Amino acid sequence: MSEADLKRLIARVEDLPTLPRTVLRITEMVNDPRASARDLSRIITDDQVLTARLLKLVNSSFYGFPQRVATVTGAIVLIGFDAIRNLLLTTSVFDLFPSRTVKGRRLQEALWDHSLGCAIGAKAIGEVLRHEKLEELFVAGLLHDIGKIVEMARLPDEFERITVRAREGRMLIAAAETEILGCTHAEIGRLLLDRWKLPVKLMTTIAFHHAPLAAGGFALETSIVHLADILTRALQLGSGGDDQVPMLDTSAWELLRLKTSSLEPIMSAMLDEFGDISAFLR
Amino acid sequence: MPILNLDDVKAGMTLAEAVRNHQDQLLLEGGRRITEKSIRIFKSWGIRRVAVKSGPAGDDPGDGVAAAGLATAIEEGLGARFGDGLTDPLMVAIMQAAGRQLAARQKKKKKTGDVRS
Repeated sequence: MSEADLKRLIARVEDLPTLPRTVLRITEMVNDPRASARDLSRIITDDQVLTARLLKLVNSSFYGFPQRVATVTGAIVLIGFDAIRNLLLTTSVFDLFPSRTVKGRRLQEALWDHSLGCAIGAKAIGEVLRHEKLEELFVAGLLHDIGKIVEMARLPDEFERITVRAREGRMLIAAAETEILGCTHAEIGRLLLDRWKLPVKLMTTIAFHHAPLAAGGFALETSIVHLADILTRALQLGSGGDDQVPMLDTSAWELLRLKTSSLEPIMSAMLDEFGDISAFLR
Repeated sequence: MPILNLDDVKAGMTLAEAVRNHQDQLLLEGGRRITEKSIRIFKSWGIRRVAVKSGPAGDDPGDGVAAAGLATAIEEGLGARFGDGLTDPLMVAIMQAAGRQLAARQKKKKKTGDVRS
């Protein structure tokens, strides 16, 4: 790729959409110590789609509350400000990159299923490890391939070439991206999250999900997403654009200190929860 | 039922007895056709000898995917996705766990379908 082509490519990718106004206001409010659950509830209930999504999610098996949560204020009190922000953010992100073609929509749906599988997997691994921030892991899993969504929407011709190259060359999509674009979806995802000023932890996890030990202080969370990505591919939940299962990073596996015997219960939980949460989030 | 050193085992032979690793995890069922991939997996687990039934598996009417059962058929499909990763015992463990889970789901789905019909 010539220098001029590369510049044009970056310009097309950098022309990224902004977050929905409601999500931005919620993000600001989460950072405001004076904000109350009622203030936050007022903003969410102004948006019917977000309200419906939030109530569906808190009543899904993701949280498994014994009683039905009927109000937004009730949901906020139960799961907290940060969780609300992250969940609303992630359920809105995929709407920002609508695809114009039937084929594009099919690819996006397959990637959505893959992302959801990875999110559920990250949460299931987190549960085994007794990680304190399960919902953060879920969000990181859901957004780990957001760079591919950008490629599909902004660079559809290149993305087509990438998937063909990955399929025909039996190679991972990241390798095909490097060959054709000169960068990977992980780097593009990082660029997007930086533009949206999202938390550094989330940005780092997404940027390094193929090389988790390079994530420094967030290597544990990144390793969890790395493993969840592999398990999702092994279980064939959706498609990440190629059908290859990448090698598990040995250092990441050692960091997680999991036993191989825990893999099957994690996968079983992933398959159990996938259908349920998918129905609630769509 | 000859027992061969792994170096003498060729793709296409049929396994006489199941091969298990040191953790007693099943690597390949008895009666299955040995492939290049299975030989790689055995090597990666440090297996030295295996019992074989016959030469080329085509002679054995019980051989092949149809007789292998759902779990192994799924595993064969998965094998293509894992590619060279199957030289790593950990990746083999992931593939086998995924194969068992997917087979269990398919069996469950089939059962539900039978009840409905």
